[in-house]
Amino acid sequence: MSLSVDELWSFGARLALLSMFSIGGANVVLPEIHRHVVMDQHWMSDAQFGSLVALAQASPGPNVLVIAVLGFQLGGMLTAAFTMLSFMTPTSVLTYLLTRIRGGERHERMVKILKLGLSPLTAGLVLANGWILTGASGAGHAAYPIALGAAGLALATRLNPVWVILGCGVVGAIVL
Amino acid sequence: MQDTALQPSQRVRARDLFMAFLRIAVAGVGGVLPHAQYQLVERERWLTQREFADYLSAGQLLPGPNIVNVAIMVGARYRGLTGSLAGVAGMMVVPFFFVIGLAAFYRHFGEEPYVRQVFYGISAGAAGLMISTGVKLARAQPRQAWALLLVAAAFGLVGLARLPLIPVLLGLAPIALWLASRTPPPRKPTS
Repeated sequence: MSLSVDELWSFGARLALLSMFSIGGANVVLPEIHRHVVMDQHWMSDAQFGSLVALAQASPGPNVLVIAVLGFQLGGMLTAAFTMLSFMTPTSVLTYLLTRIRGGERHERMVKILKLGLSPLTAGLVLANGWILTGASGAGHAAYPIALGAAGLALATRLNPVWVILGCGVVGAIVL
Repeated sequence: MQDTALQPSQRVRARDLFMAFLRIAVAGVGGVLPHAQYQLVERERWLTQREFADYLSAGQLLPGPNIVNVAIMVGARYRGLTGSLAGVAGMMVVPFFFVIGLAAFYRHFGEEPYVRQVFYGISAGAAGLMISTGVKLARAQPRQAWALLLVAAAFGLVGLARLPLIPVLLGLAPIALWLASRTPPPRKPTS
């Protein structure tokens, strides 16, 4: 499927806006992107969305590449570059500008409060994202034990997450 | 433990910034952070251990991908705007083409019956990893009712009630900051 130019621009603007709320990383805004791309616009199915997120997680590079993968699915290479730049430019400019400012002691106290206050929200949002993606994986009810198993393995062992993901793929091939 | 680093007045070549962040990105399949520490602190000595921790928490606090924010900050410190661009490019360009290659594979073969089932399993697994990350983050919070309530509120409103993110954040963030500002600093810093 391919988006019209108008749809593309408005999707880019939406990504740029969302990026400014992605405290803790791109994963935090995935539920919102899922809502737009799958539930409202029907640009792709639940299972497609879940698979693409998993692809981005399993490949090298930062998780934010999920935005490029979704863009590729919606158009092609150029769309991928466009969605990626839409999402990354605003926050990158912000971070760069902040490196030009030197903070004093009041600044340090403010940073501590921001960190203390915002990190519980990040934790909750990452959990929400994991929960929504479990439901959207395409595996139906079987997704819940698989996700639970993967989470348990990741928490209890120091196994590289890539092996956990691939293992789940094998389980999917056998069980589903 | 590394406690000396280059001074910001010393310059690093843009090429070296590009290569260092490329190595971080490529080696860090399934988790970039341990590798970032090795490259930036131990190998290149661009940051002390302490500075690395500071940069990382700033990167997490700012909106945007954490490790990309770190690349921008390190690049800016040693080479200004060129350095930031070199760091981000190193981090993104090669992985971008790699992941697009995977996406192209998915587009062509993703609907084959067998491949589809593998992907169902993989996405459930990736979602599970996301949950484990969330659990780790939640565990790192201070053991106080207000912090745990905020975790639960963010999860419940976005994950269960499926309310839109932006209004939820605009509503919860001021409450969270107010609560945090009333909390005396912990004796042992948690991050």
